[in-house]
Amino acid sequence: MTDAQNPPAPAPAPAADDADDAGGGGRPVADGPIVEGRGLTVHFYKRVGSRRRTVHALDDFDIAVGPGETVGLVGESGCGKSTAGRALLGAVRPTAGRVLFQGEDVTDLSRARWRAMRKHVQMIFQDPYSALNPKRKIGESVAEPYLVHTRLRGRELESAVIELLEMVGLPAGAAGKYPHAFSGGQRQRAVIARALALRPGFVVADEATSALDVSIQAQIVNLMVELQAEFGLSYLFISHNLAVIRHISDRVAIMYLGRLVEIGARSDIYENATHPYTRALLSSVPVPDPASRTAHIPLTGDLPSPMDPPKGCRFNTRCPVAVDQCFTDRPPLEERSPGHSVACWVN
Amino acid sequence: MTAAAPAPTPAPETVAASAGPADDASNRLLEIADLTVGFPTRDGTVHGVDRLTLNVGSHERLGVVGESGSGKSVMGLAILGMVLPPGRFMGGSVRWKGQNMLDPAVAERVRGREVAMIFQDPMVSLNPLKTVGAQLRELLRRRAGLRGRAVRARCIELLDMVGIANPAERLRAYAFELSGGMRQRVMIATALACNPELLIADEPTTGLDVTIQDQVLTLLHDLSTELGVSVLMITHDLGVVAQFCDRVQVMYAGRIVERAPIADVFAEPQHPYSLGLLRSVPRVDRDDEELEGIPGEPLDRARLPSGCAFEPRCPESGDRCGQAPPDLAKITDRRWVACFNRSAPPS
Ligand SMILES: Nc1ncnc2c1ncn2[C@@H]1O[C@H](COP(=O)(O)OP(=O)(O)OP(=O)(O)O)[C@@H](O)[C@H]1O
Ligand SMILES: Nc1ncnc2c1ncn2[C@@H]1O[C@H](COP(=O)(O)OP(=O)(O)OP(=O)(O)O)[C@@H](O)[C@H]1O
Ligand SMILES: [Mg+2]
Ligand SMILES: [Mg+2]
Repeated sequence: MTDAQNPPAPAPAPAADDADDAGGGGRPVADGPIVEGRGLTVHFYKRVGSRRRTVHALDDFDIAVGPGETVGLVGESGCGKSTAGRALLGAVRPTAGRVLFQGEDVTDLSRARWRAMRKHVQMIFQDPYSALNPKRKIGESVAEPYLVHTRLRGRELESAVIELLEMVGLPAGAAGKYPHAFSGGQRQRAVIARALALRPGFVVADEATSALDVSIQAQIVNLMVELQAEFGLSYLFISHNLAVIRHISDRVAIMYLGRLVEIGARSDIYENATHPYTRALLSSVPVPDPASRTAHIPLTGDLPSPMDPPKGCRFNTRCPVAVDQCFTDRPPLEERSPGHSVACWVN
Repeated sequence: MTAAAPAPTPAPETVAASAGPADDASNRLLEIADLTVGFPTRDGTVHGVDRLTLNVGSHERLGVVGESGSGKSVMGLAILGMVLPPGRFMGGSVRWKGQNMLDPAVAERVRGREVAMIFQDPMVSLNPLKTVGAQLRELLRRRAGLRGRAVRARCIELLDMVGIANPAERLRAYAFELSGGMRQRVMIATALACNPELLIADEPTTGLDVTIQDQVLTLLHDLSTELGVSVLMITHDLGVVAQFCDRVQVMYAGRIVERAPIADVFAEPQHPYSLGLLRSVPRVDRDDEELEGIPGEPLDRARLPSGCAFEPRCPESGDRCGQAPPDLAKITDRRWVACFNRSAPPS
């Protein structure tokens, strides 16, 4: 499988020649993951009064995203989803752990080398308005990656930009307009166009559709799925929306307070949820169908502070099935069936 | 899904009972007729709500959905006689138990007492400089006319009612010291302080994590069942509507396009926009192949077409649709639709 001794991967992630539908989940496909995080840990330090406190944003986080695969990442606000995404892209330096890109350890790359990596890994954020410079025309924003990383100029550049805009469903005339002239959905299309300009192999989409109205969210989700098939993209799709995650993901990872509590194929998570937190989370989502009632496994209390996470299993303060061991020992993430791992002493 | 535990909360019979206080019921509390609120803009007047007609009875939970800018909040505020400048009333009436809410003296008397509102952002309506207790006490003295010991007792009773543990202690907390879910509960407690008969809840759970949303919705549901409070639930989440409401009103560009009991709308949406919305929502409880979405972009509210506002995006649009906007018409005894392609069956 993964082989750290792999020769440095050749640059542009080639478009998947066989756009293979790995179909509903399982493991990363053939030649190993495109991106991998091993034991990723990120601590932030924060002053509280006169004391320096440690924020345990991400703790011993393992993940691998295969070529052409979408891994969904869910969990409550503040559980470390964005931090995980940023660590995988080198946007935040991990306190511990490694990041591998196509088998190559890139954790300690210099800033300059990471900048070169930007060709292969990209991020799409929630708020397309802040992602686009309001003072620059859409065309200029979309052209920027070409100006920084390639020699495309003049006519060629112009037609490359128009091609990109068309690819995401924007009219060619959009290039000459400013972001404020567009709706949220159109701006998100422009952000996607820019992210895909250099044909990255791996894209972290962080709440990329969360601010959009549902009818527009559907358009953008569909667009992302189409582009994935066309270019063999891999996504880490971060969202708090469990229905969107179900729709788009091959595999799904559930986080709680900086730790992975369950990971598996889509069907493992949605049809055979095992961790009590996953179950509670799924049972809380209101189903858009009055004929089918939401299950309601109520969780009492709020998320504990990541500055003071509970000992043992971090979910123990809210868990309906916790036993003594859960308050003392950390449950390891164990594989229960091929590809389906759970960190729980009880279930 | 293994998470399918017995589902105690929202009473299933609400669906069947929902034929109840529909538009023509005799127990009308709130009657809105032809309400229009305008906002002057550079490109002319935008109608935040446009000739809106609606009745709400007692013991009713009405959902209001529609995309961003469709007029949901403007409607909620107008019911309380609040039109925030630069907006202004341009016509129509709002009556609460027969009294004219557009009369500032009437609105001042009813607001916060018989009709209360939960605003989307609790930080806007909770004073950051005062403790939760100070704010509640002030409200109870001013609005409910309580004095002496009764004030503190009622404060504790209210916090207890919304499921806040250690209420006496929490009264000493400032809003910023509370978690999002806790703040939302305090907001609900504030709204309930004077035993309202109608609660307008504007996106009361947006931004909350699903497990906390579930707690808040369950609380609101129990309160409305136990105390008989009618709720106007403004939301963009069709799941919340399906699980919480009896009836739903779908809005587009300031107008009502459909209103009916939820069972009818979810099983057989009549307006093409309602249909499109339902087809845009991914399901958490099953795998769905493709999201259909709605083609096109949301409207520029300052440049409404002369016909039906949905016509440019409507897959069923015909000759008449471009000429004049359709009126909201009763097509069955429970359902109102504004579409030229749907009309009452000949009787
Ligand atoms: N730069 C930073 N400095 C200090 N603390 C941080 C920083 N970035 C994140 N944190 C903290 O780390 C924790 C994880 O944050 P992160 O943004 O990864 O969560 P998230 O799961 O993405 O949440 P959300 O769903 O709200 O976006 C939080 O407690 C957050 O406050
Ligand atoms: N202060 C204002 N100034 C100018 N126009 C306004 C103002 N408030 C509302 N409007 C207009 O009224 C329309 C309806 O606004 P409203 O806030 O009711 O939308 P909404 O349905 O609540 O949207 P959201 O889902 O984003 O909260 C908007 O499209 C806007 O054009
Ligand atoms: Mg985040
Ligand atoms: Mg609103």
